[in-house]
Amino acid sequence: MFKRIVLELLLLSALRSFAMPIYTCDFESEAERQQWILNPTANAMQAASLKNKWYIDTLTHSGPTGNYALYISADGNKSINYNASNAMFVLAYRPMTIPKGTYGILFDWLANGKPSGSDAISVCFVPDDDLNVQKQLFSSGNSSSVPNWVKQYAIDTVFAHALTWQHAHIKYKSDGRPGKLIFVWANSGGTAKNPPACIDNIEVLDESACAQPYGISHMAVNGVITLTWEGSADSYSIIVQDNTTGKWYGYTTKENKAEISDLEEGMYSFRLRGYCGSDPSPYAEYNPFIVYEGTRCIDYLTLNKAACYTGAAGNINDLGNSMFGQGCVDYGYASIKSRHTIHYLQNEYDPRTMDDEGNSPGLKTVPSDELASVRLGNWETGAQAERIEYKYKVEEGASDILKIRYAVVMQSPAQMHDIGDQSHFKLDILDSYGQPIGTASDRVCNSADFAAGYGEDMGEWYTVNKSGNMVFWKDWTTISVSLRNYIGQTLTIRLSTSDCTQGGHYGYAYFTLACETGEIRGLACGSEPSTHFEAPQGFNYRWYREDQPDIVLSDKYYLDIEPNDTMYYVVDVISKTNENCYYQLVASGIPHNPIARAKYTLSAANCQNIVSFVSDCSVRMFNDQRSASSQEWESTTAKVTDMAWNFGDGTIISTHRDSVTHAYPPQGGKYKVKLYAYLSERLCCDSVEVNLDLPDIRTKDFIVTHHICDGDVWTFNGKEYIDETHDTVRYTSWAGCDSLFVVDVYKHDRTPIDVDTMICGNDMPFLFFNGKDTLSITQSGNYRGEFINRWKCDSIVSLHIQIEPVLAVDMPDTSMVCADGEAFDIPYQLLNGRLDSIYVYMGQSALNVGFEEKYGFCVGEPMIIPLPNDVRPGKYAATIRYVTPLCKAEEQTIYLEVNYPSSVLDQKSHNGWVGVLQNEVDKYHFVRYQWYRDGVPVPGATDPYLPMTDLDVGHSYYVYLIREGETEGIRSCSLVYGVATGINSLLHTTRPYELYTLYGEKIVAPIFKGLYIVRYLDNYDTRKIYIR
Amino acid sequence: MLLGLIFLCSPIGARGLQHFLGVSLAGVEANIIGENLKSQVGGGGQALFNYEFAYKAFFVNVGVGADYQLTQGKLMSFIESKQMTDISGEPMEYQYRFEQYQEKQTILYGMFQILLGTKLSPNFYLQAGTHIRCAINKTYTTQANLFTTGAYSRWAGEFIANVPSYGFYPSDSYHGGGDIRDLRVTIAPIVEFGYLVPLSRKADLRIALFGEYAFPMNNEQSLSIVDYSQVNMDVRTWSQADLQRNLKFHSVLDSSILPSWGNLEIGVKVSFLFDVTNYKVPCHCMNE
Repeated sequence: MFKRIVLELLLLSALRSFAMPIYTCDFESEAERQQWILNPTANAMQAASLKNKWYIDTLTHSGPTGNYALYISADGNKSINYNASNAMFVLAYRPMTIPKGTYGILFDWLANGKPSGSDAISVCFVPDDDLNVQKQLFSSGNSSSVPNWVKQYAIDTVFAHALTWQHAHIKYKSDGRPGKLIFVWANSGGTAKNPPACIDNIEVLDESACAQPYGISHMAVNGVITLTWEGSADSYSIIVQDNTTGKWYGYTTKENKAEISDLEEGMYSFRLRGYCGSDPSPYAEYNPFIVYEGTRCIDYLTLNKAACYTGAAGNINDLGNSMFGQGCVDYGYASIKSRHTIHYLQNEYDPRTMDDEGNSPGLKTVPSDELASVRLGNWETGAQAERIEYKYKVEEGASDILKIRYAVVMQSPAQMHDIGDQSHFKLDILDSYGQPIGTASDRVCNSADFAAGYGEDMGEWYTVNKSGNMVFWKDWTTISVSLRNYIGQTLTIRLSTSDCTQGGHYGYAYFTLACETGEIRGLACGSEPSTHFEAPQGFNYRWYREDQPDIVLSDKYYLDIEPNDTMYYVVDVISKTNENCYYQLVASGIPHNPIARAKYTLSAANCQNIVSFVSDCSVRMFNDQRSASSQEWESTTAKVTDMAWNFGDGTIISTHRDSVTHAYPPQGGKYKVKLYAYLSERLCCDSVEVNLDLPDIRTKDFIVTHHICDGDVWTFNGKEYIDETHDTVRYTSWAGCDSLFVVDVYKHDRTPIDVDTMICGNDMPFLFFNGKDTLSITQSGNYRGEFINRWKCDSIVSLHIQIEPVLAVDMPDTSMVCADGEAFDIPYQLLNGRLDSIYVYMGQSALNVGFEEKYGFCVGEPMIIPLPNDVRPGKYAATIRYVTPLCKAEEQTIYLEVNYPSSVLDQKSHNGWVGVLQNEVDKYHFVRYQWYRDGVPVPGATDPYLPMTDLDVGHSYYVYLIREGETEGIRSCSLVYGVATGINSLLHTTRPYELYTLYGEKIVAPIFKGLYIVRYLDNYDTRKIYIR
Repeated sequence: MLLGLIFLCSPIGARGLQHFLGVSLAGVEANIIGENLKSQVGGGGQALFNYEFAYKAFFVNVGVGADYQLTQGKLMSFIESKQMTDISGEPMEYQYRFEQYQEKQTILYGMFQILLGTKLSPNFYLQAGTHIRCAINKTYTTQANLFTTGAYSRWAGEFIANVPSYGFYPSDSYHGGGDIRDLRVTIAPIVEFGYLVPLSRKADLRIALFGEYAFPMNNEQSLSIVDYSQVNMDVRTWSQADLQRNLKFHSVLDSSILPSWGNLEIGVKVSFLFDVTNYKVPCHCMNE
């Protein structure tokens, strides 16, 4: 509850800060407080004589928020009071300019003052250009009357006679001149009736900006007050003051209703204003007396459920209502005009029952142990009569004793009229036929008929002399009527009052209604028998044992018995007014125990979890009348009326109500609620625990996504969407919790879609769903699809697809070159597809021997990779990357093999051998050899040489050389065994010659490339030639 | 001389001194012990006429006879090389690689031996001595596998083989033989341990185990094992056939390839010895 208030108050203050009154002042701002001029006096002497002064401080304030208010104190701001030793007045004003126009000036005020009305607040607006008056704006500590300018510039009526904060709403028509808003507290000499003036929450408001709510009504059931009203504002704020405790509560809502729980019965002041955007409306006031229906056996305080009648005094004895007009006349308890109204002030005394000075106590309008009483009739003369009727269904056990308490005030002339003309008070109980219940003799007991000044029991009436007229008043009297004979029937309880028929004297009454069970207080509680019984007070009594009715044990309202006496005792509860009117109650010392039971129902409102608890407590008694072996606790029909609830969130209340409602936070949670049931003034107690597991009723923000086709309209939450939109909408859930809707609307085209695309051959097949089937496309061409897409928008898709052929390049896996060569010349042929460029990325081992990291070639360009100088023969991995213009590049690994040059070998002619030279072995550390003939290993040829007898002409030979520490070897360049042909052409000569190896061995023809010596036979010239 | 003195001075007929004549036959297992021999096997026999005189337990045996041996030995593979220039004019080391070199020897010796012995028990005896022998007839035959190669500094590999044009012939079998030049004069210590079986009062059968190790004496062993003197070494005209024909072998016993060889024999000897002692009848006369 508290948390909710804080939340609401924050919102309230937030709302307030966005409000647009012309002027607003709650005295909380230091800067604003400085603007006020308090207690101006003409001179120092006047200032010294000023006993009552205005202060802006924190001794009181109005409303649920804030601390400061403007008030009068006569003791230097120690307390709110005033000195009425002599007449004086004191000013407090605020310079301001109200623009031209009609405004409402709203403020909260509190002021009592003398009954004569001489002590009151006046509100004025004095323009600055009235210099004459401006000169008189001073307080006076000794002035017999307020100055004339107060009357001249007073805006509205004076304010007094309020003991609780009131709300003033006065209209003011401004001509736009700057001036001063002045509050004047003036009092006459005499006895001060505190409190003096208190002012808070001043607003100057453009009332047309937002209309005031109206038609406020309420329902109070099961601990929940449902307030409803008319109005068209965007939101409303409600301030409630509990007139009994003075506490303030605040609420906000966007609807035209508010559900408020956790307020006790009593008098409340509701102030309701609307907000149109940020503009506030004036407050509408509503001051109901809150009574929860269903909490009493008769909701006598709910006047709109009763039948009220008004009529003429002469018809008071009519059984029917035909002579009466129906309708409750209620202007509040203080109004003389009210004829059916509720009094609720606990310490209010009827002034008509007091002497003129008001010094001696008179009739309390509300009995001490009652919440409120109904007043029927008024103190206005005019031969009026009032009637009020309640329907009551008699339930067995629960409330078969109807207790009517009444007090009567009747004026009588000193010379009394005839009894039938005197003011009257009547109580009748009618059956369902409209006839008085019971026999004639019963009626004496279950009805009442008093005429002012008449009756045997006049000794019990008080008399007050009021201005020559006698006022007879009877203090609160109780009639208890046993309705046990009418169980199941619906009776009508009718109360009637009337003035004297002559029209000169009034009569009215106060009453309360209650039900009782035939219970005696002091019943044994707990396991110990009781020794003390009490009957309801206000009667005469006769106590006796059930089996000895003739022996009167006591005539007091109580009886004491011996301990462990579990006999049954009866008490005759005898009406004081008629000893023949009595009912019986039975008591025994048998111990009783309360049994606490409770149920609950869950609901939600205002973004809170609302739990309605219903207690079903009962009383059991220990029946020891049975045999010892079967003695046990038996349930009784008695009810527990004294209960306390611990709601598990720190809130504890005591109540007599069977139903209570409590609000829990919207996030829910687990709460242990405990109900305590008490008997015998809490001598014993039972409790029951109710475990609540409340849901989280907060709503999250959520997103609504919708897709529309071009040209379509989608309506959501009352709004039409035709375009792509991203909207935010506020939403209040069933539980009153706010959340945000985010509305995302996507628009999809229907227009035909042309798709022109290229697919790489490697990504084939291309799957295309044409609306019906899935096509597996492997050829370039045009394709068509007709779709209703998932957003249900139909569209035609024209697909033109160009298939880029799969790249195919013919290239060897390995390319070889002799180490004494110049470059790799890697052949390649583009078989299919398009090629943009080729890159060769050399592996790390190639980089280590001097190759470049990357070689690039354009299409058609020979792929020539130069050999680094002194490249070490070996097999080097490289990655060839074929870059296509459109598709993903293809890669292929190639091995670039640098073979040992044929210079690692040499030949021996004369059918010698071909072999590896020792210096090459020293250089490369060959350890293993294998000779190949035409690429095929020669079996057993694992020596570093191969005899020429093993060579065949025309075949190519190479040796595969493995170096020390390696497992893989590299071959030498091939040699073709045979006679070199065309030697003449190589030598470019026709001269005769002989050819020798470098070692001088004559050879017919070289079979290995290398250096040779040619000796020309014509001149024996010798020179070296290199034969490839 | 000493023996003669012992013989002449021994009183004939004294019971302490006995004279025997006999003949002994032995079968031996013979081995040539020397470096570079991979394996050796051999055997033979001995036949001797013996004279022995004994005094109590001691005796001296002199024998004259013949010793016939058949031995066969295999040499470790060896290489013999020559620095040459090959047919193309390149210097090379021409190598003869011999494998499975095997020689058989047949030698008949004349032998004289003298042994001194002692009876260890009535039946067991031990004698030791020496013999001298000299070959009367001595021949050998040789067989070996040979392939020729050339080793070059210029070419990788240990050698070049199987290039007939360069004289590198594949492995083939080569033979040789002839008389062993060396006289095979040896002197050998002998140890014999035997068992005496009296056949009669006059005859003994002796069965003995003996061993002797013959040391060569004055063996020059200066010849090379292989004789190339008749082989054509002209690289232009040489051939394997010529090599086959003209490659000669000397006996290992004559060549330096088997330095410090010895000849071990272990055998079993059976000897018959007859007592030819002229025994005097002892006189049991009284003072004549």
